[in-house]
Amino acid sequence: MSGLSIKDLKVGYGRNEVIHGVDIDVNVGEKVALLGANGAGKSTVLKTISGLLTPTEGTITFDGDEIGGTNPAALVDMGVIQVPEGRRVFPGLNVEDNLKVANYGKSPDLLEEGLETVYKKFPILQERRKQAAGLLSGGQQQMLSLSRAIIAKPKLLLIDEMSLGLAPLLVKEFYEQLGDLFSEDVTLLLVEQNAGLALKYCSRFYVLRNGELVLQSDSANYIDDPTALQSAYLGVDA
Amino acid sequence: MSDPIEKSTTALERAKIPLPKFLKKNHYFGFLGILLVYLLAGTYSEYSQTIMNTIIFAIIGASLIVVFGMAGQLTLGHTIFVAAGVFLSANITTVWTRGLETELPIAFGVAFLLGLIVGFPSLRVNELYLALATFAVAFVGVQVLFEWKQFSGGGSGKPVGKLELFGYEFSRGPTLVRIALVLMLITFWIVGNYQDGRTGRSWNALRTSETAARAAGLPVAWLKILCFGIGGGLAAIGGVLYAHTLRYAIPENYGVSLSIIVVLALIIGGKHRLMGAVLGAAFVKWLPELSRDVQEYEGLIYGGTLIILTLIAPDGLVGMFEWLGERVKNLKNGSEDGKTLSADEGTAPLESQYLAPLASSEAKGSLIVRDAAVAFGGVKAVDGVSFEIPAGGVTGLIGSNGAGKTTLFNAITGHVKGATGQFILDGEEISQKPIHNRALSGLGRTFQNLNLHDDLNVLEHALLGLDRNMKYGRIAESFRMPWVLREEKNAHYVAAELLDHMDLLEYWNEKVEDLPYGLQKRVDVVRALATNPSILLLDEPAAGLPTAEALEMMEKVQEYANHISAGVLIIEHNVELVAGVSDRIIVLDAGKTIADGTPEEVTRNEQVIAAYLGT
Amino acid sequence: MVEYIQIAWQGLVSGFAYALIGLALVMVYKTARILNFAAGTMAGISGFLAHWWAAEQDMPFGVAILFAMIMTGAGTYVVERLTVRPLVKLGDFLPIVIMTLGVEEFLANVSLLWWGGTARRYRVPGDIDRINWLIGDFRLNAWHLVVAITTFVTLSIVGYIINQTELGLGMKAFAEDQDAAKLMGIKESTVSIWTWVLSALVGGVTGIVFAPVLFLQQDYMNIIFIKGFVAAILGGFLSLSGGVAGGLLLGELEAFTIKWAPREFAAALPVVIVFIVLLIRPHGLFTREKGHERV
Repeated sequence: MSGLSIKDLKVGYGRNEVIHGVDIDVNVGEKVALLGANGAGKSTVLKTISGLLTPTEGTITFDGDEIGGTNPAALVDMGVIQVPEGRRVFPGLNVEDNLKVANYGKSPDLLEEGLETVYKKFPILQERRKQAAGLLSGGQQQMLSLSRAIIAKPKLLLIDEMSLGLAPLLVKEFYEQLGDLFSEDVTLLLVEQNAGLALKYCSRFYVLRNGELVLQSDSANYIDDPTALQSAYLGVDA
Repeated sequence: MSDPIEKSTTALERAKIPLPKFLKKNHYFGFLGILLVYLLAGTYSEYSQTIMNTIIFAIIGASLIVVFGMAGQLTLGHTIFVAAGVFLSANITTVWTRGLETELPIAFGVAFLLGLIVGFPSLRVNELYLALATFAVAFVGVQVLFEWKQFSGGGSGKPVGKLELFGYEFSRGPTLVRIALVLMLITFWIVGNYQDGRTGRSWNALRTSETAARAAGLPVAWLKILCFGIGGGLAAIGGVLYAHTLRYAIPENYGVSLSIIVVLALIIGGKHRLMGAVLGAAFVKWLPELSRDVQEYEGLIYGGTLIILTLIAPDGLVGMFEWLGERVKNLKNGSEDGKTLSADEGTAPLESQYLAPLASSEAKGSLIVRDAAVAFGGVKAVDGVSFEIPAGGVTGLIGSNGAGKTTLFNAITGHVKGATGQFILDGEEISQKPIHNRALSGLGRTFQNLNLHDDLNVLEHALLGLDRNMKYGRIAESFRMPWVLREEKNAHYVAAELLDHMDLLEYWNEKVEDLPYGLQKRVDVVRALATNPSILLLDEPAAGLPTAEALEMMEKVQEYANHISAGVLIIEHNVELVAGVSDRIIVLDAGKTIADGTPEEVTRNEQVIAAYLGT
Repeated sequence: MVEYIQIAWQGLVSGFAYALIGLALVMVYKTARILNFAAGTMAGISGFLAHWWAAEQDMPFGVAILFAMIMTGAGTYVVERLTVRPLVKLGDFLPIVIMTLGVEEFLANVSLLWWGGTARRYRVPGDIDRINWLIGDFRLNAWHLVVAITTFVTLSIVGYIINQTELGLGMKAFAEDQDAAKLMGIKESTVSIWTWVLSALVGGVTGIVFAPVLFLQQDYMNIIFIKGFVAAILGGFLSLSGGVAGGLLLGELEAFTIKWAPREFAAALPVVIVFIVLLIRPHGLFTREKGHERV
């Protein structure tokens, strides 16, 4: 099967296992959300897919290739791109250098093309292209972080907690823009604590709690009342 | 059930935890070895120079164990203490014409003070900087010696006077070796006593996690400076002996290369054991004796050995031997782990004679937080939080990612810089105190990301917590006074009962890094409980644990907190768990309190649900 | 007046050495958080190789320098792969520092065995180190001018690599945020090795160009290493330009201290500076404090 397929994934830090056997499938072009409360292990799953962490057990395949434990640089070459939690722009580099980094090891022509696209979508970045990224506002940093992903030309896009530390209205805008920023055939797995937003954008979702999947469903079933997810999130009945 | 006598066995006995004794097996071995060399001192004049040098290097190695092995401060400036000993000795014997009775105390005293100064940067900088700063000290130390001609004789050096003690003159040769052995015995005795006592334990703790050491109430700053003082003083004793061996003190011998050699020797030997100091000294002093060829390549061999050992055996030769020993033992005994507890049922730990006296009916831990605020750059992580917790209560603190919960904790315990607001614990204002003093005032805390001391075992973590209520002084500790042992013994009993209470007893001898995560969390809690806190701050004790295991642990914690009538403040994401244990829940969002009430009220609060799920 | 200019020029020339070594140290520390204790000795070996080949093996000076630089680069490559790389994965940095100490001990003795412990003075082409020009009362040594030009060229090349090439971009990104850099497809091992090599080459240039100034002795670069380190501390250890500025400042301070203060004090100056800086501004003179540690 093509797309992303995770089977019985276990991940830990040292002896501390935080993901206790998780299965996730995302078909090519599908948009899927991975939800859960803080500390549930969502980011850990994402970091394992992008190669920052190595699975202790289980397999991760993408486009039919086993990618568990591959180094991040090789995964980037395969088109597995992560937009990290907290944006993680390089604060001391200017905006344009931040974007150049996203094109690392690829031809300068691609960069030209990428910059053009990005600047068209976010004119503010062009305006501030010589400014240190650390001086941008949170929203602008998120634009930059997303722009790096656009330039990297993802096949599989992993977005980690876009809402973190941003004003709700801004976050909403970003979610509305996502479809416009990336082409339709990009496979997307996004991690989010804010269920309301994620459900609007994704067709399916998984809920993770304490390192285990506790619910998976179509967004349509919950989209009108995301608070119904509360018991899955928190483990208490409302 | 077992009979009454069996029932009274203590946890310590059941787990077969050895009590501290005045003399241990190691002491006998060490003493025998030294005695042997002592008696044979006259019979090998050919090698007496090499033996002498080995002893001196072993003493310097032992002094480095204090600074580097235990406290973990990589110092490359250690030779200035040796040089201090050497040149003080030269001056005292020639200018004052006094003997060892004057040389040794003055050398120790001066080097001790010098150590306090050299150790100062360790408070400000990380270990890499410190290594370089001390390297610079060594480098410049020699140059200053060169220029300070009155003291050092400049480039041509200074002769060393007679070897005397209270006016009696000794011939050098075998007598010097014997004197050196006695001094080595004393040095090793002192360093060994630290290793067994609270100071050594504290050093080990700060080496592996300063943050946690502070939280347990250890005066980390003083301990760091102190290690340089004591290490420096002991190294100067080696220096005095060196002066009498060489009979001539020349500045250029005490430069950077000697500094590096003594560190290399200790690392090659093994930096955590006195035996490592001996092996390292023997390695660098006997290798060149093997042949002239070896002599020529000695530096190459040291460097090469260090490179190889760092790659394959970071604990040096001692570590390698210990590892081999373990393997042989395991081969003999099969895979039997011998850790099972004896089957006797002990007294319930809380009713044991060691924990029962801690029971208190007077509730402690009333905490007032007024206008707490913490800002990182422009972001307000905690933004004017105020609440009051009554003594003895269990309060939950919940909120979504980035709500500021841990930052609030850190503000209360002092682990974050630039926090404003007032914190009053049992009527005592603690807002301005350093971290360890807040701990001493009665704040006990655990850490979200498990701040444990990797090289220490479970029992030692409990003993670390108990340090808060230990009374013996460091000088008494140096000489293993009877009351030191008495208090240590008692602490062992208490620690064992505490481990028993938290169901950790059978793991007492395991290094924490080898434990599964759930047990590590308990160790973190035990350390905090052992300080006998007024209020216990638990930062996500259940994160990463299955709910059942977390509940079981919380039950134990609560039982203990009730026993000592301490309050509990707990951060947790697992709302199920928090709701189950807390009398009251405070909810933070974006650095502010958005709800405060009983668990039922809070979990039904619209705003809370919105903050968790987002809408 | 001329006297002060003379002292200032002397200080500047020493400052060039401190600045270059400071730069080399900061480069490795910034990208990999490693202090390379072997940096001084490695630079010394480069200097020895070049001058020894030129003076005793009759190699043309330029070729000798080229060969020495190639040897330095290749040697550093091997050292990094064999000793540092295996430890990086463990994530604990103290063993790496100890490792570089072992490397320093090893290399220092290799060079001692090779060239012996006595100080030498090799001739440079045209004996330009013995040419002195008098401009009014100001004395200018020709080799010092070479030193100044070399420093300028080296700094320009390093500046170009850091600011204009993809490798430099990778180094900067890596220094700022390792995980984020990895997620952009930058390979840790590639950045690390080239940082080491570049750092060693800067050190090598320093060793070569300062050999005629300092006398070639087995450990002649150690003093420069220490002072380069002081320069790096002055600059806050995380700023390349800060390291360079710190070096120049240290050179001047030293030159003027020797003029007015007693010799004992002049000798202790670097340590005094380190202590003062650590006390007052641990983050260096030229950089602002930033960052918080989260527990």
